[in-house]
Amino acid sequence: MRAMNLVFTLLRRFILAALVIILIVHYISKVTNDWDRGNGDTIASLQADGEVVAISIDKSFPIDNDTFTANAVYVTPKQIMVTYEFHSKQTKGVWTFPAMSLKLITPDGQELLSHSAGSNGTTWGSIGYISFDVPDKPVGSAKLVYDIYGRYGELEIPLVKAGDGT
Amino acid sequence: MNKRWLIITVEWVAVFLLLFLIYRENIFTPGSRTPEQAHRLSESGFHYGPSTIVRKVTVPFDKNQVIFLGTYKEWFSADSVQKRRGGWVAGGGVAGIKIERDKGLSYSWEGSSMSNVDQRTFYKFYGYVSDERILTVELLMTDKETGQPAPMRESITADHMFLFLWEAEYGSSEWQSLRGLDKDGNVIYEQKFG
Repeated sequence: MRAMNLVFTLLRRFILAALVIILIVHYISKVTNDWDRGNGDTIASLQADGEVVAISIDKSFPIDNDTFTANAVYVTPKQIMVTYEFHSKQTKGVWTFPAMSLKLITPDGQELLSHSAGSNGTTWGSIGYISFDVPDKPVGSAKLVYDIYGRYGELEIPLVKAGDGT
Repeated sequence: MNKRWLIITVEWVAVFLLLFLIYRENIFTPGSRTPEQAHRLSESGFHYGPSTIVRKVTVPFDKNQVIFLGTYKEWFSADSVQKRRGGWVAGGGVAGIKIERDKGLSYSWEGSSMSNVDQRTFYKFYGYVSDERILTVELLMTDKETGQPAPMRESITADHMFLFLWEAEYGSSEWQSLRGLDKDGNVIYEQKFG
């Protein structure tokens, strides 16, 4: 009887230890996966364009149950770069946010072209950036628009000095 | 004695709690239980749909792959889901393609490699027919090696959609054209390739 009890106790504690180890490994890989998932390198590389004006935005719009947040805009003589975060509630079957679907439209109706975008997946969604051309005429702001498959979202992006050549 | 039972109970409760966490974190179950669930999750994760499923097709030469033909507002799609490690996960083709009503026939295609070893490629060619006169769609191809024609053909039914699936060595066949024929075999629509 005593021997049996010992076996059961050992078995129980073995299962406990195994489960704890599986979860710890999982959580550690999850946390480390989110490290270095910023736009830091991309923002630093903007210095090559010349003067960089950084403006904080921090505005959001919902897309279905998820949230798109524009964090900041970086204006250089050559490009307008918007950094964003995309928070997704869904945990399975999630796709990277299609940043190339975003349009940047100036108040006089010019749709600025986008040539590059990048993103990194995180445990809660993705973090990324998208770059647009500077407008023909200087503008004080522009509208960032998501309009695809019947979903619509827009927010105002302040643009200081964009396209005035200074 | 009572204290011993208390410890045993607490330990078992802890085991179930940890099992629940493992289940919730999807550590061993990355996919969905059914192809339909994986398809729905793929669409909502892409912010498209939910589409109306008009046909569910199991790929004849790959039982672990299911394709959902569907329409949503002014778009059509052929979303693939695949069985991996016992669960169904998203494949390709979740995005909707615009139905171009003035053209009478809209199509899209994708090729994906089936293994890392050889050049076997899985082709999925699909479309939506909006011209009521088109009753048959054919994709004319020629085998480059033998020079033999290898056409794909499908009759259009009430769901308006067609789907051609085949596997081949990458670039082993030459595509001539995609044609839409009426009931007498007259060409109503033609898109030439190459």
